[in-house]
Amino acid sequence: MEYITAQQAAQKWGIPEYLIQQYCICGRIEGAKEASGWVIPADTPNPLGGQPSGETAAPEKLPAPQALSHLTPMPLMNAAFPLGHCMEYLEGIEDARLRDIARAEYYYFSGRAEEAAQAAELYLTHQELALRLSACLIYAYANLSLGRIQQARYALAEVHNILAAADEKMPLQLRASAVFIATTASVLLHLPLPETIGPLQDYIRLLPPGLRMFALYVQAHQTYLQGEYGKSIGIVETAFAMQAEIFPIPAIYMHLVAVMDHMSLKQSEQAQSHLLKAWELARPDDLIEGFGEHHGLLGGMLEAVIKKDWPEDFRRIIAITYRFSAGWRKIHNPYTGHDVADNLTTTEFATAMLAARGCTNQEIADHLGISPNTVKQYISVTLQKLNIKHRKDLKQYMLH
Amino acid sequence: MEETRRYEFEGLILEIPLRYDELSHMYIEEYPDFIENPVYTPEGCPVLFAGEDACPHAQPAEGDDCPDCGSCRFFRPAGPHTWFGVCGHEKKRRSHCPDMPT
Repeated sequence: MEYITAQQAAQKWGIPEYLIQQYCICGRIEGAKEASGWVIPADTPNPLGGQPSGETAAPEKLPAPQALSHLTPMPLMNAAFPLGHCMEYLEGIEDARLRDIARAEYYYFSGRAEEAAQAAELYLTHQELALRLSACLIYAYANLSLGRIQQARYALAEVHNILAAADEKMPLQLRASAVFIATTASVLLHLPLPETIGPLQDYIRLLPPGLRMFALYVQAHQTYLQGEYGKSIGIVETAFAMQAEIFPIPAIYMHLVAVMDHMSLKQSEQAQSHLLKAWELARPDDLIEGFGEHHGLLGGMLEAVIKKDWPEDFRRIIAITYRFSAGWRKIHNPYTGHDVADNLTTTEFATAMLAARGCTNQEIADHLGISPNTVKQYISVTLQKLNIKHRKDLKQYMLH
Repeated sequence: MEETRRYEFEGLILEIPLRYDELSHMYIEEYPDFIENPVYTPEGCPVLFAGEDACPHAQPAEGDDCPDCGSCRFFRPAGPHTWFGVCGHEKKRRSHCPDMPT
């Protein structure tokens, strides 16, 4: 039998090499075997069902959308749709209510906060809890991005109310979904969780696989915030090793937290690799929101990797960053809404983050692909704007 | 509207250009590259940006950490509200670097 390498298959099918490797690990490519790297029978059809690279026809068969009998919150987050076919997938969801929620998710994850808020609003008081929980999460984040903090707070409070009202009659899987959504909202916004909510890890096994993946991202993010970067990377790697299918939205966020971890450990090559993997997953369906949300924690990786080759996408990501970070600060400090990032451009912020982590001007220059003198100009401006005399004081401003 | 800020220190007079920053509504001092185009005091001490990477001679003014010139005990700021100054270390004097332009 004739074999081709994973790299050759990637070129033939027009999909990322690492996806093919993951499919091999999961046993989704029949006849694939390891021989100093994965090799695949040459006549294997494209596992995504797509056409060879260069052709744009839709895959022959999309995975079946969620069944109606047990509604799952955040149906798009929980979907293993083929890359580049997100819209087709969601339009194929039979249940109109789930389709509306999936559309709201799509608007949100593609940086269209206003449309996401409008689509989610209709379901904020829906009697079906899975729909209501989804709507609350989307509505909270979308309104945060739009600077409408009261609406965001309302939606977050509604999630807590649902949990507070939950009794033993609430199906365990639904309770798991509610805990997942409440924890997601709290951890990612650095807000305290109500004491009545149990730890998310107690419920993860009850979640459907896509939400389980996102829950693991939330855990990895929480572990990152505790400064345990190696442990956080371990969560990411384990999650990827265990996944049977690629869930694009959780996978994007999972790769982004790995970028944050590796940058904190000054492992820029690994960080760049994860960023590119996230980008390969996000770009076909324009799922750019997560990049904007995490900009400040990505340690200049967007500037180093995305800005040069995808300037228009970079510009849109930065617009999301400004919008999201302004809302994020308002929810944390409603009195002044002020933060160090207010006065810094995103490039100044990224440079300052690297300096705060102990990188030299030369290291920052190498990382961002700019001259050391340009780095010094950014550092100079940052020190002046923050009115601090030494770069070692940046740590206090940028990392606390 | 001021376009430069004048500093007189250690026998030197320097005009530092200013740029208005729309985001912060502040005037920002724009320092020249003192490494590429060195400037020395009459005593031969180099002028440096406080955020320059620390050299092998650097010693922390406080604590153990000394990542840049501004944290070094040999660094003398040109003024209380500026981010450049003079390195006072003997080994950085011009007499120790005769090939340096003046």
